[in-house]
Amino acid sequence: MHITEKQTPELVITTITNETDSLVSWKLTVDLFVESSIHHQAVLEVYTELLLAGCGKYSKMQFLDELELLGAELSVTARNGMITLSVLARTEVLKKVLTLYTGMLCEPLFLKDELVRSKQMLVNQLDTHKEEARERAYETLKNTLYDVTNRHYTHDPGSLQHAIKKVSRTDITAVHKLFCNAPAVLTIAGTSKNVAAVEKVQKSIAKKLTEELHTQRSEALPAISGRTLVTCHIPGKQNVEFSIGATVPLTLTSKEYPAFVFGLSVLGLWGGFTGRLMSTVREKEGLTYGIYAAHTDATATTPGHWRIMTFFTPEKSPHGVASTLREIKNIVTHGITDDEHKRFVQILNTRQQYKHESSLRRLQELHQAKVAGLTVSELEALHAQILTVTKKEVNSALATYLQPKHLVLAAAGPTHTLKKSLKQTL
Amino acid sequence: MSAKAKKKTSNKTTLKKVCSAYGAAEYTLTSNGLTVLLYPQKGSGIITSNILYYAGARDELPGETGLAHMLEHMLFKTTTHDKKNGIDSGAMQFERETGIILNANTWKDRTNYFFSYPKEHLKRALTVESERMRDLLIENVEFLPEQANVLSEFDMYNGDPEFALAVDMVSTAFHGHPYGHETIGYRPDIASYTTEKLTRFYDRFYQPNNAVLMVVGDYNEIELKKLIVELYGKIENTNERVEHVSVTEPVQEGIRRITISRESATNILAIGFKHGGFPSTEWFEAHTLLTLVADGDNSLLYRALVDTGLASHIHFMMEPTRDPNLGILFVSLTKKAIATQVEEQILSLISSLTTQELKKGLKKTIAQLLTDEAKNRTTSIGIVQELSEYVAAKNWQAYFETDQILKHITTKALQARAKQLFTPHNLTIGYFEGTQK
Repeated sequence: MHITEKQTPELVITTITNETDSLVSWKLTVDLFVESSIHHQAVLEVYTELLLAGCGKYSKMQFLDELELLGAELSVTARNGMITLSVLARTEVLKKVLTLYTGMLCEPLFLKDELVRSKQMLVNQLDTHKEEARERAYETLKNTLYDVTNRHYTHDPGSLQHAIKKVSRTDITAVHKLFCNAPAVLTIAGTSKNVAAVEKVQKSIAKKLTEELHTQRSEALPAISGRTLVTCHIPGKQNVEFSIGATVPLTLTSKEYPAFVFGLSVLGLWGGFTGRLMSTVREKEGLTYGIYAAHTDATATTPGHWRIMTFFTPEKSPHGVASTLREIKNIVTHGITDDEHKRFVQILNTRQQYKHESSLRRLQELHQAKVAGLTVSELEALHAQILTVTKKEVNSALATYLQPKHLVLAAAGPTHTLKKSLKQTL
Repeated sequence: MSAKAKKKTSNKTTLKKVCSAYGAAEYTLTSNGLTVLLYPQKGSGIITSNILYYAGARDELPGETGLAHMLEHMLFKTTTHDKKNGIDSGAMQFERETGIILNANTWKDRTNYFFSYPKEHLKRALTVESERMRDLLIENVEFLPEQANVLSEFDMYNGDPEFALAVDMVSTAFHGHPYGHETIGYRPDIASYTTEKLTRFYDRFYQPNNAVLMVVGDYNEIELKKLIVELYGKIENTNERVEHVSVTEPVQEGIRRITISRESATNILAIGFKHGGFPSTEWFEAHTLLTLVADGDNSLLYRALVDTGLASHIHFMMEPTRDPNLGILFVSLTKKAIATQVEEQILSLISSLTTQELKKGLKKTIAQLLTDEAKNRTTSIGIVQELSEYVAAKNWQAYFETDQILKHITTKALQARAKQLFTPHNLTIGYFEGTQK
């Protein structure tokens, strides 16, 4: 695989070329975060639907038919105020896919009846979302960690439903104008010929910046003092989903970030059975099926948060939470061991090797890094730093930034009868 | 205590080639009948090895449902070799020391165990796998906490309304066939497992002549074959032949229905239909139909139900099982939808599919299949996960021939299949009724 990076005023472009690839894939992300109002959030949700709802001479059905007859995949998602387009196609149909893609971006229809349909569909989907305990637990955590003006804040489903109903066509065309005028991050994977074709088309679509986005960004992190319990009662669920965490004043370029991430991996590396939490809370104590820890949402210039994700039955919840808090305290108090340090250097190195197995995996990793503001060499340097941190550095970072006495415990599920016992655990 | 493998070395043990096609080759280990399937993928630096045992939910006795899955969990515990060397589990230590990917999954017809790793770990992966084939210690000290984990897993699934519906629907749809219970089993059965039951199942099914070892990735063929003969050649079978029960499901007369009521705001309508075994043309015809009808934002039912506000989500599931099984179409109903009316609407839509719709649907299915294949086959683990289902169905070559199977399907055949699948005596209807106002 050969990787290149370039930049124009409109586009930050990364290409991954592999002459044996039979697929071409690309991601385009535009940061449209202007304000964290519920209205803006609702508009972005509706926009992701409407962008796929017809363009040029194609109705929604015709547009999707054309894509499906080519076997192409095209999705539009909104997260943290950013819109991401993801495209995947076989090389032999790329030309036709690019024609459809260009039409979608340059001639979207945003028809009134599609607007009505999209809004109703999103409102109905939010009804289902109200019962998705795992996602609700995580949203509840983030909404406690972050200020309502912050891009990571997610307004509650009920309020979002009301806001979606008020979204107008004018709102959609306005956000599309923003989308077309804002700088974008583009990452492409495929053969050199196909990568060049995508790049050429995207450059022709990208308009010269005619106006600056007036962004009101608030990255203020409220200080978490003490242990806070926040619950989201969803009756009828069999389990209680937990997201436990806190903000961390570290960006991806902070000196202690590599050491902190290393330490968090020892605590609960996501996936597999290697983390301490899986060894103890699951394997030894049999309290849950899965328990993992990760640091997320940090960029090159803004901090993120760490969190632990797990679930317990209502009966096991107090014990499960107590065990989890105990493990956090242990790793902070006693640090990681020499054996853990040695093993996790190997484990994290192996994890990195998998990312190089295919262009698609590499695309995913590099695009995420670019959106977060890292260059490829900065990303590689970060990986190297993680693998060369010392045990002392890891333990120092954990002691400073993983604070077992200052965190938020968010629970979603049948929590009404559990509040008292969970508070006692804290 | 499980029977220990005798360490008998035969100088004549070889890997005898059975056939090859599409770059892959099948072998038999002459000493014990182990089937070996090798498929090279040069240049990636990664190998995925998978061992498949023909042991799954279909092999479980009443009162012991979920045993195959429980045993799957136990395969990550201590072997006699591990005990001698003072370690808890060779498999888990392998992961903890190297960070390789390991996991397993159990289904109706088979249980899979896989490792995916940088190629320098090939010998260790094959060694660990060979040791746990016949040398597992199944003891309470490890079994009891793991039983608790499996109960946690059950609780995790059971919280999902669709899972709860599927459990009841398969047990209603099948009166004789062992596909009538879900792979994880019933909770009371899980709670009543003993090490004796597990050992009996292990001794009966976990042996070379009931297994397929698959290796996909960036390996050196000479080195690999040598390792396989060395590590697996000495393992003996506990039974000359593994007997699997064969059951023909009695004829269904008329539609079957079940309802689950729980405190929830969710309402789900599920339409179950019995379909042919995998990877037959029948199975692909059914899958093509359901893709046209219920897969994605542009499917016929999405437009008819989600776009009109009667449903919030639609999707379907069809397991790739060897025998005929129950596929299920799930519809998450909105508050304004009336389940019986939606049921009627769905069946009416399916019964009036036009030739044009079917023709277009078939083209889309083929196009999507080609893209999915290209996508899933970029990594050795992606290949193994898909290929193993064909191995489980005892037709691995069909993995490479799926596009040809689809290209031979006609719209006339699809029309006949739609009629056959959705006739009342082939249906089981489930309704999850949320009682929360």
